Amino acid sequence: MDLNTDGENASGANTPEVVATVEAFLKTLSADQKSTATFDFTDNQSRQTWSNYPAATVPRKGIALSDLGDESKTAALAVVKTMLSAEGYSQVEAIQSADDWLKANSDGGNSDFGDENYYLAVYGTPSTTDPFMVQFGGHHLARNYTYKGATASFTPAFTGTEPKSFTVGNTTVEPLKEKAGTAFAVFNSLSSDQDAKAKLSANLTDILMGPGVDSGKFPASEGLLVSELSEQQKQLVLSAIAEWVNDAAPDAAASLLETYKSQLDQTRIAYAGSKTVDGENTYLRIDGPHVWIELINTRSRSTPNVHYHGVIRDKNDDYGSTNPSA
Amino acid sequence: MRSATDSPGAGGRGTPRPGRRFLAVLGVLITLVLGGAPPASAHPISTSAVLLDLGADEVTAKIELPLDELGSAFGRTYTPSNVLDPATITGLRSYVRAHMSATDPGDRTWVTTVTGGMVENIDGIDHLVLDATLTPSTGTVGDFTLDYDAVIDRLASHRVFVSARWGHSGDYTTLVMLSWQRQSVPVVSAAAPASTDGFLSAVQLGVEHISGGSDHLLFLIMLLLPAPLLAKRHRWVPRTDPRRAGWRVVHVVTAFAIGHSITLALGALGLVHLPTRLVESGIALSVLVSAIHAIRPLVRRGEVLIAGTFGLLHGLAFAALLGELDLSRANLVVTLLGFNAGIELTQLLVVALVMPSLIMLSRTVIYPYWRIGVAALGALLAAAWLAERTGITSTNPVEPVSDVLVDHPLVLAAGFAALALTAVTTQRIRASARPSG
Repeated sequence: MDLNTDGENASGANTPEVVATVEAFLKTLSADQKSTATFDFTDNQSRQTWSNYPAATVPRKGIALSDLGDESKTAALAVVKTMLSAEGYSQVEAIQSADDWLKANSDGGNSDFGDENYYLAVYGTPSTTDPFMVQFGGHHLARNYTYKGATASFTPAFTGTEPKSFTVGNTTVEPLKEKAGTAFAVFNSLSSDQDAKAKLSANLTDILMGPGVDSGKFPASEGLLVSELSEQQKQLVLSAIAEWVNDAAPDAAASLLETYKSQLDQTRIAYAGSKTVDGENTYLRIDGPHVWIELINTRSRSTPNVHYHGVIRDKNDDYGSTNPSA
Repeated sequence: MRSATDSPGAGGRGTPRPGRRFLAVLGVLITLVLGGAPPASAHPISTSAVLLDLGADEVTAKIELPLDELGSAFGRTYTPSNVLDPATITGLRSYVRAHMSATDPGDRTWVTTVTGGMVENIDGIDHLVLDATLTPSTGTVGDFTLDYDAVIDRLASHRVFVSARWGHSGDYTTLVMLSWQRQSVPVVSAAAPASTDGFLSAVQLGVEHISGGSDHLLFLIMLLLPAPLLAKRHRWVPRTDPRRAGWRVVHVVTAFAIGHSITLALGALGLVHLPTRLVESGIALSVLVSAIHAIRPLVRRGEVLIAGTFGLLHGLAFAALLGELDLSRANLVVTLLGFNAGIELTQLLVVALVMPSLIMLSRTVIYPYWRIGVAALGALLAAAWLAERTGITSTNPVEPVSDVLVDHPLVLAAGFAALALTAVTTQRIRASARPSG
């Protein structure tokens, strides 16, 4: 295994705070719990076992929230809060509550769901100088944050939800409202000429760069170049990218967004199926020199309607590495 | 699911057998993508399956296409009835034919035909099942590369599991998961992966056969008995140069190896065939002759002559046994070499176990008695075999004696070594006790 840490990481990472919360979390664990929760930084196979599936279907690495006492669970969530921005963390909570909704309302398999079926894993020793990674995820959620000194990588990150919209009490919850809203705004702004260039010939029923696709190989770039868009449309693309990047803690996220902004003219947008919000096989993609974002309507047998699967990757920096599957 | 609640369903896609070449590479990926065994509540993801049956002159394939994904690929809704509509099924057959091909290492593209068309419910999902045949222009199935992108070319997120089995029975082995990342897979025909296994199993068979055949072992031991001695006027006398005993052993073993190798090859190739009873009787006779020779030399250097000539008969017996191995022309040489290697290895082991004791004992006064005693026992066993194999007797009363030789070779060798050591030590003590001068 020679997974390098040569990715062009975002700078300005809050590594000291993350190290402190991870160390505090690990201190609350028993020896057994600690061995369940911690891995070698070089354990490439384990780090790549994140998934969109429920943990009952694809077992996760790390320790489940359901296996933690109150103190440990609070400490675990403090780690996630520190890694993410406020918006990023509230989206995590919304995705977890979607799983609670499925537990109460889906057509079978309810016990697979629930907000405690989410796992935290630590790869390597938390350090302000040496690389380590924190992984948090479960059904429709994967956060893989790799830190190296003051720099960090936040990809691959899976974000999905089923259902798209539901109510808790009297409140409507839409976990991907901003991510989907800004993405659709881009594609709805296209003229018919632009639309023709952005439309892919193939259809899709799921994202291409989902779990297990860590070869470092990405699909050939297709679609409409952002350089052909108006300034206003370019801003829409940047806003759409920002919704994914801003899941991470603010300073490093801003640094990463600067990188993607500088590459905006070489970035392409593409869609397949349809552009309608609830369309069958609606698929949207933002494909830059580094950034890769996919969002799709997909189906399950738990609910009658389509639901979202989405991912953000960095072609040069997944897991903080230029060679993630080494 | 394609969703959250769907699950992986690789389990239904053929049972992987460990050890196949591609499995190791892909197993990890497949495991990651699909996870472990799906729980009862999870639904299988819709994937295609291509199940290859590798025959001698053609490859047949069962192709399972999930209707939901097929519909997404073509932008329409397929049902178990409308997909079998004549126009639709004809179109889908030619579509699959255009997206499936086999190419051999000589860059020859095989002929693809696609027939059939029925709907099967697999893992809870309706699939259209087609039959394909890949026919090599050379008439012989060897290694080839399968190119397949049906559905994937129109539905980029689709996944296809390719599995294969050899000989039209048993479980399929998963070779690869095809996707947008990859649409071809090398397939190894049956002969190639068998060659290594074939050699080792042939070696093993050779070892088992000679070490389990007391007649072959006894023949060898009878020939070794007089090796430390010199034939002089039809009597065995001690050699003056004991180093020559070693050379005599080499001559005997080599002559036997040459003899049985010749007939083993001829027999395995089907060029020489003698009735089993004749061969088995001849082997019994060979033991009898070598035993008599050990008692009283028949001809000068007789043991080498006997080893070479009767070795020819032993080789025919080995050849008959090769029928137990699945021999094809392709791996005949490998099997022959392996089988022979097994025989020679065992021979050398017997020499290594017996010869040091034999040479030690030959320097003592008891050796003539011991040699004659062992040879007489050998002659008795051989005579009993000969009587049984030629049909003179229906049973062999001394069979249990020869079985001991096979069942407890190490105990016998150790006992022999202890005897030799005791005899040498006793003789030395006596010699030193004798007044000198």
